[in-house]
Amino acid sequence: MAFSSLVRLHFQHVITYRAHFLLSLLSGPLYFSVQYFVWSALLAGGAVAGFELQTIVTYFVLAMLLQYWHFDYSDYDVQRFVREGTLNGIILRPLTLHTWLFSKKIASRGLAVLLEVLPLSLFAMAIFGVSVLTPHGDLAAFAALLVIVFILRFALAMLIGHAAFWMTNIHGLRMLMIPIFLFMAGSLFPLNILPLWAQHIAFWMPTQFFVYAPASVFLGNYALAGHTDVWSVVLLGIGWVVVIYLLLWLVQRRAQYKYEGVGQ
Amino acid sequence: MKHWLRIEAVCASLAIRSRMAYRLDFSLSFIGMFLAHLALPIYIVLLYGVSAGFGEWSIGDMLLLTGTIQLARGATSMIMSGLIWHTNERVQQGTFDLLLLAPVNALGHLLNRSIDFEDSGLFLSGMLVFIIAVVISGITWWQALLLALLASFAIMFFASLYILFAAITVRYISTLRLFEFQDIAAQYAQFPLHIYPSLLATLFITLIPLAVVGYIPVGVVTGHLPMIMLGSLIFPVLFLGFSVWYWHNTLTHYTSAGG
Repeated sequence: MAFSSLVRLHFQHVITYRAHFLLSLLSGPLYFSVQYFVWSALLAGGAVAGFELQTIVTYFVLAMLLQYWHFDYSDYDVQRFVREGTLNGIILRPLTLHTWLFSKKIASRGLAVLLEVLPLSLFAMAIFGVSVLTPHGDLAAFAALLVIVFILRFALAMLIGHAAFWMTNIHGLRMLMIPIFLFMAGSLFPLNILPLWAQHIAFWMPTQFFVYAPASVFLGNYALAGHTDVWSVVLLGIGWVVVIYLLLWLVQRRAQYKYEGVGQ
Repeated sequence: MKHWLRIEAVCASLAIRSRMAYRLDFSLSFIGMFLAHLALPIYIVLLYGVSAGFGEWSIGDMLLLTGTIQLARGATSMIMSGLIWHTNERVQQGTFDLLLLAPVNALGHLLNRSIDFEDSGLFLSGMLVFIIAVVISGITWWQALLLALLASFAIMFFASLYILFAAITVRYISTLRLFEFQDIAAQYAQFPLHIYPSLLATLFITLIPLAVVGYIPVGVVTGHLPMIMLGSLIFPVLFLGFSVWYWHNTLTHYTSAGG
């Protein structure tokens, strides 16, 4: 089956649950409004950590949009396939689990762009006057980071999901990723307000690509632990994709011997 | 009531035992929850490191506000977080109809099934932040005890949200993202009311009493607000009354939707 047909198939499935996506039109503005009020109060006395109000609000709007862009639940899908034994139905077809789930992600995020990213971008422009459609920084680097984060998040989710071949339940492992994501991705705060030692850790972690790196490259103010060259950040991102995929390949090889096809 | 509490105790014991069947998963989940909910207090500390903060509210006061809310949220979630999930599952599978036919209080029965110790990490992180905040803010332990008692109104507010969302689930089916709105409510409650426009601030005291969850009790105890503000504690009681009414009203309009 052609990859595009698979994407179309998944798209038809996810569009059935469009109300799920449309709820973001309510939750999204509520989420970034609170950051708007918080930073308006903080910035009443002037710039904080080099941020003006417009810049920081744009950052949080971008943080939200980026999370809609690369959101991934392949880890949960892998766990469900293994636990229920329904993985058999997929591996008996002339396609891999990776192809099946990646096409699903493209379909689901495609719909997210239509129903979440675009309407919320327009909302942010209309209400807060922030422009999230015209980058202030290097457009090519930003586009490259969008591709990198899309693939990286998927590869990480797949890697975590494959733990289901050994553990009965990976819920705890997924929960453990939340604090790492909160502290080191930049979704809760821009990473450059961290102390320098923490910035050094954040720079070398793959999580900075989830929010901080693309958002600050878009804004044209990327600076983390003294690094400001955006193309070296892009290269680091590519390096992480390669490393995670290598790990995933190794884990997949071991998992295929572990899988018994009867569910758990 | 006594009978219901006995059932609640049995269900709590069952919930612990079923969670202990997957000890590693529970441990990882607990650590994840605990650390994830330390993110906001750390964010507040970082904000105070790079700015003047929120007017008269010192870093200790802000942590007291965060700790009180997390404590209340954690306590409510341990008892009620499964309510939306179980209600949604029953409505989707059609077994909600069977529950309505049974000679039991539907909400009470669902509450018995809703105990989940998943959020014990949130409760304990709230407790840690609360204790640290009491030390930093310089309030007495008696004032801290009073604050913990006032947190029962916050529990009432979060419980109202769970009941309201469960009712919405019965009406509209498959709206599990309603969980997000509880998070959003907590986020708005975590900051002093004066940062919001006056219309929103009034709304947060009366119709959606988010301010009563933490801002008003902490403000009164730390001396930022006059004692008379405690009169607004009536609003979470009214909000709870409204959500229970909405639940019963929803049941009278329920026409079954399994499948």
